[in-house]
Amino acid sequence: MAIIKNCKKIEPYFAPFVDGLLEEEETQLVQEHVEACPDCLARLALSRQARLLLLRLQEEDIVLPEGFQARLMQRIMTGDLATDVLDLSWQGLVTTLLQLLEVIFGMLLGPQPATAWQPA
Amino acid sequence: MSSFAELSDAALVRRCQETLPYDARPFEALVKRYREQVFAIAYRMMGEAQEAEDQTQEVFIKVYRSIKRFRGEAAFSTWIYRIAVNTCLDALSKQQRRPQRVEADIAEAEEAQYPIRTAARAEPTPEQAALRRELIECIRDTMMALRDRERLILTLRDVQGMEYRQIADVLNVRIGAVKMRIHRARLAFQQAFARMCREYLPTS
Repeated sequence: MAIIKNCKKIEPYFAPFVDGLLEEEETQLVQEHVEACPDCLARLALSRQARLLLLRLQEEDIVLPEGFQARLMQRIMTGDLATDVLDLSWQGLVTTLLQLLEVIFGMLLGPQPATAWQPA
Repeated sequence: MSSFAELSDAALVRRCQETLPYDARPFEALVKRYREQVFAIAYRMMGEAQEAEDQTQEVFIKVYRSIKRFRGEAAFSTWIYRIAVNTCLDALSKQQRRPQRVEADIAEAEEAQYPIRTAARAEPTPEQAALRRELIECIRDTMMALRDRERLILTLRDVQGMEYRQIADVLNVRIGAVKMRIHRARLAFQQAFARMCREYLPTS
């Protein structure tokens, strides 16, 4: 492959270079360019430093606030949201009616009610 | 719930489409599967836990409302991350339109209420642990000083570790654009870090 002299053309290779995702030939293209271009070499170094620093954030264990799911389901079940998902066209109403009957028969005949909702 | 946990995303989505609003268990299983990742993205974007929880709730409410219309053109994970990204960007742009709150005390109180734990590693000394905490704090502050879209792409790639392809799908842009944006956002981050966290720069 010919050396890429244009900085704008080589720039899209920098992020995958830093991430170690380039093929050998592409890696060589980047290396050849930065050997001849101190500005891009400096930018590449900055980019690599940024990546290393940002990876430190992965050490943080972001903990979801306790009771999140219960609060969410409460909001959904007690607001108008539950009815928002109803399809009010006649086809939708027929489908809904059939589903409702299925649930009722399921409750009457099956061991586990299909409508039960328990907060996680 | 255990049987739902074994189902694929696509199967759970189908169940939601068939049974909502009467049976919320498949939806709950989806929430359980994605709540941590969505909260992590929201936390990185919003910068505080209470705001992140609010936005995470908004994301799942939007998913609940529109899951019946989800046709599976993209993977469910891509769809939900796209909703998360847009919800956070919208919230941030609303925040910028209203007067900025200067309430460090509130942020501090929230931090106490929602402690963000640092994952345990090989027993650092108390000094090392303190230094690491300070460095991470500084990296976090630098992230918050970036433009929303710079912070977003760095969150998706360097913090959440998403593949380029998935980032392109979530942001609905070409993969070449993703590579450029990541590189430029990293440069912006490093310049801001040099300004804000001078003490952590290597001495030449």
